[in-house]
Amino acid sequence: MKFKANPGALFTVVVLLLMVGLVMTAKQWQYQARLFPWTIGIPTMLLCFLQLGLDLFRGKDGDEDVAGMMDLPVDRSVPVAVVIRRALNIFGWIVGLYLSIWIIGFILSVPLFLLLYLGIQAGESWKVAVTYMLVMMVFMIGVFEMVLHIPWPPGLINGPQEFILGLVERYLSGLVPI
Amino acid sequence: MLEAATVAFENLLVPTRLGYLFIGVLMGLALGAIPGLGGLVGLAILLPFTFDMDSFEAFAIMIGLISVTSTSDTIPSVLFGVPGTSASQATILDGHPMAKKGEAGRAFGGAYMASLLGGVFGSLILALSIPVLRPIVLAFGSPEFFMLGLLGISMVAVLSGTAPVKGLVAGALGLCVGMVGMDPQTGVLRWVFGQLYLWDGVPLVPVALGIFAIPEIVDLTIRGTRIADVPKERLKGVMSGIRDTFRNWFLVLRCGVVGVFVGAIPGLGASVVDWFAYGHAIQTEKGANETFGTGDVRGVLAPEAANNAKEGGALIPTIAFGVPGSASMALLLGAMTIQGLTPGSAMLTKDLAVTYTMIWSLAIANIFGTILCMLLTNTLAKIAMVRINLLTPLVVVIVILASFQATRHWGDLWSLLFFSLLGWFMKRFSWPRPPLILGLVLSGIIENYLFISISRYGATWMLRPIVMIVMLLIAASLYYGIRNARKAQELQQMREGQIEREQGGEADEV
Repeated sequence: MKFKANPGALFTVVVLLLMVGLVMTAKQWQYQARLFPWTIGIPTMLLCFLQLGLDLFRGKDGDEDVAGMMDLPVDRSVPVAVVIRRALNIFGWIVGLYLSIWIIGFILSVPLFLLLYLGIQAGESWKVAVTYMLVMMVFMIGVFEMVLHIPWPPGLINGPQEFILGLVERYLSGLVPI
Repeated sequence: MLEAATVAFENLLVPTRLGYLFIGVLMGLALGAIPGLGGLVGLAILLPFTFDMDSFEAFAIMIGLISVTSTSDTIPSVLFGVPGTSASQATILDGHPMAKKGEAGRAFGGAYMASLLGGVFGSLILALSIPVLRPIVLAFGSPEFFMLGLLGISMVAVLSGTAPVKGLVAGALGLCVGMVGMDPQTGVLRWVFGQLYLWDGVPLVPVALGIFAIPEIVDLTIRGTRIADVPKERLKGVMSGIRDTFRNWFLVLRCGVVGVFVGAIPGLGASVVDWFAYGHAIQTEKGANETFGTGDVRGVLAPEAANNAKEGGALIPTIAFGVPGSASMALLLGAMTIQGLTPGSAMLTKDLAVTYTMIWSLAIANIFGTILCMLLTNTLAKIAMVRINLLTPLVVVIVILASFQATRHWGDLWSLLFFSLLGWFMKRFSWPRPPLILGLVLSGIIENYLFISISRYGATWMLRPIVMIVMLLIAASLYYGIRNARKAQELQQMREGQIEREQGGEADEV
């Protein structure tokens, strides 16, 4: 048995701290409310310690054989540095989309995201990117606005989104007189 | 009961419901054909759009989707040697060699027909099990249902990977996520961190999408290339494959039984059902030891019959006992509760028509799926070859829009981001994710059962005979899971040692 620090153990530590936090918070609740959280949380804390021991002393990188998992195995052929870079990149785009939704709203952000991702990140031709963007706009307005009537949250700068929604409304009221 | 089945059939024949079923089948076929995505991702995306549907429509589209992913997942398995979903890994062993020999059409003909027969067989077994299960379910009380919930989570936790401790912790995490919000018994706000959004609990949709959909697409993007890039070949001999299925009808039937059985046991399911059936075929079929793995059509029929039959089996514990055996069944259970349905005795009595609608949907979806696969194999093969660059932004956008449908609050988007990161780390560090979803879906239900059990029976609820039997089953499943995991790890260490020795030997020779 040899000690080996690894990223898998770090993740277990995060889960362990989360469980400790959850159990400690439940301390102030009345008995009935904390019965189930403690019934589950306290044994889970012990299991986390056990898992941490397994991670640290079994010398593995948390990379068990996934045979039997309800999943396709993770592709381990890509170097870790590349995995981290690409993961940060895609999560960065998602966060960017969130920021854009917060600033200019859903209706404009989603097609804009498609345009920029395909044009810049994916290296597709701008023709493909613009076609994708237009199809997505029609899909969003058709399904989410006209069928599901989603109340889109306003952006910080709400003018453009309101303008587009206003256009759709005017078009619809012209098409289907009330 | 026959009357309920007839009413359910009539209910499903309403054009809009059949239309939803058809849309579900189309989505399922496309998702099954794209390696890396699958029914679970589709189901998670679909879930918020079923909120405004009636229960017949909702289950038509959802069951339509999950029934046929195991039909179209054959396409990349046979043509490219890449499994469309985890349920078609064994199909590659003989399907891909058949494609290399120019018999892809025959492999598809056999696989589709075996999938159809397996799927219909699974729904038939489900239908026949209802009259048998009804008196058993009606005899169960809250203590029994509480223990069955724990049994489901513990079995999925220890069997869904070779790291049972991680599985158990993941299940417990799911239970904890399910406890967030106002406690229905006391009104205490649990783990809401001052957020009004969390008062009603964490919605299932962003959690399911975050745990499953985003990590899959992130990993596909990390891999960077198109999912499959082997050129497709012309298909011929489809009819010969269909004839093979009928020639081997007894094998197909037996593998259908294997599929139903494996599907009904929580924790087993998609990733093992095909191997069980393949193993069974090797052991029982004449000359299999010599021909299997070299392009024997029986090696395609066996897993394909089983992986379609498993859905019928998986629905049995989900509907009758409220114990979903897999993450997709957990989402279906979530949809049931959203639709105001309670799994268990109510599904076998007052909501029997809904149950039979599910069964009919399963059977009809398999028929639709097979016909469409026969007609659209070439198109679906093109979908499997789609460039990941085109798929990533589309899936990300659809997931975000679907997630926002949960409560139409910014909190949905933050939940999505949080659980996406959690899901991705879990995937990278080999933490099984299905137990987390099961825990989340079952949390409220089993806490309620525990509360009723204690208030009504005190501590004596633990002494009820069925409760004690289920306790023993939980202990047995934990023991079996841990022993199994240890064996798998020893085997892996042996393999690693062997590889190291071989590499050492090669270095010496150099």
